[in-house]
Amino acid sequence: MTRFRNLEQNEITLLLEEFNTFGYCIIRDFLAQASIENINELIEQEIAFREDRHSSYHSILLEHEAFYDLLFIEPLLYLMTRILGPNIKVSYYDLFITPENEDDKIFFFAGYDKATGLGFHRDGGRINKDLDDSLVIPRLSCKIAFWLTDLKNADGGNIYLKPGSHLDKFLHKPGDSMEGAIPLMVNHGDILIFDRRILHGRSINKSSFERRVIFLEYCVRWLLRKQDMPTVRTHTHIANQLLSSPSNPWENYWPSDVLPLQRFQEVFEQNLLRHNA
Amino acid sequence: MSIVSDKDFFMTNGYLLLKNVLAKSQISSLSSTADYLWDKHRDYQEPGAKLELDSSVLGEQWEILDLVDNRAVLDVVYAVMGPNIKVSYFGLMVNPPQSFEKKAMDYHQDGGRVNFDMNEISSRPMLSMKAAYWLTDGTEIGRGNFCLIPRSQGIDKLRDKSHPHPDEKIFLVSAGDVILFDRRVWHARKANHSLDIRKVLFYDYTFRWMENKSIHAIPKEFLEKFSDLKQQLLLNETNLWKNFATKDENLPLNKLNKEI
Repeated sequence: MTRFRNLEQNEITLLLEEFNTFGYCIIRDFLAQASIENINELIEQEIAFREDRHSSYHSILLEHEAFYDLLFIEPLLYLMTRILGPNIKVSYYDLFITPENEDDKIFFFAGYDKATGLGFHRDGGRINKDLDDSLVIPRLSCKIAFWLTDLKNADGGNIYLKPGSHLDKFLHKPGDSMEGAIPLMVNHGDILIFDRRILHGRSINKSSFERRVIFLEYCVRWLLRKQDMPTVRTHTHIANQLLSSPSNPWENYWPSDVLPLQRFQEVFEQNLLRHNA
Repeated sequence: MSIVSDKDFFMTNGYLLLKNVLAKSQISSLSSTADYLWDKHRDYQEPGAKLELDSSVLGEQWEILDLVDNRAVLDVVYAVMGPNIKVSYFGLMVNPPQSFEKKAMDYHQDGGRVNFDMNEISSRPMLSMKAAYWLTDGTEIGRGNFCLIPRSQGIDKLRDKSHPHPDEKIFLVSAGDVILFDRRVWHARKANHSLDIRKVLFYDYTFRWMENKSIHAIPKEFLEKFSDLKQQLLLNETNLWKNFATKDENLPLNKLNKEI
């Protein structure tokens, strides 16, 4: 069972304010040391069977309980319901292992390169281009990064973010100035939540440490997923909402029943109030 | 009118009327298909009840499928939305004559709860637009006429959704005409108080990175006949990321760009 520290109502309020203003927020020391050790141990076991330790881990993340649990951490799920609303699902889930002493082949300010994950971009592929005539581009999805290794300096494959750029009302192009982007220093156990619209990228890992981070994306249910979410586990109602697809696709647009995450949101808020009373 | 002026009109007003898109023979044939489907699927217990059939049923009707890439319509849709689009829904709406007590449908926007789910912003994006092909005559009032409030696509909330709205435009269209409209434009259907059944085909075009609104149950023999363009418009990419990341030059619809 994944262990994490609890979030009080005040902290949740501050996190949401920070997120709405800057396009991201960080929860320090969130995952317990024991849970991270457990996850890293599972990764080592998986790596032992792989030729390429840097390839996608998506399929195993849904198999192992320790990874599967991360999808349902209640304070994080609650934050997602406040950020995106209750009509959401999991659209992307993967582990990234970036080698130490990475080759310095690509200048990461020059535009996004999918093969390397380098370069500044907004998430969502061509959503931004397809909606370019809109006055304001909608949020639609949001990512959570679970840090499994430390990035104490700016040279370890750190995420760079340009605070406030999630509200920019123009189409960003490769090569745009990234003045104001800041590198994120994190410790294992920290959590980063970021709006898909914030301009972000990562540095080249020139450190002598491997970088490990899990990215989990939630999106509104009427948006397609970016990966299939096959799982053999028995679903709770919430898991069913997050990982399955309704047989009638119109349900994504107009749910015929109260959404499990709407009920969850209400109960979570009642508990927060009770705890504060 | 040119495609550029058609697009400008649509973007300003939230709709565009295209006259005589269907030939007489097409109207006659599609109308017969609609009659067949009406007879097959109507609720015989409730003679006044409307019938809506979506692509889970209509996927078997080639003639109805074939309209997804009708050039007159697709040129405008492409000009407005760009090349990364698909058909997320197509459906037949049949409205039999209604009693005089029956009121018009309330004004609404399309898209279910998409506006609610994007409530962190105002001036929400279009995301989808519909083409309505008229198979029956609607040149007089009282025939289930389509109506909308021009330029209302930027209004997030409409205070009064009832009829008549002071700014409404009621369409008087002939069989074979097509009305294109922005999903955000506030629109409705007036009551059908005529003696005739109203038959309209709707096609919803949306970006490929969105979920479909109905299941396209298309027989295998039709799939084999599909052009690249129909494949783009009606089939899902098995590699989901391609819906988000395909370059313009690799989209069949982009070929139209060169011809416009």
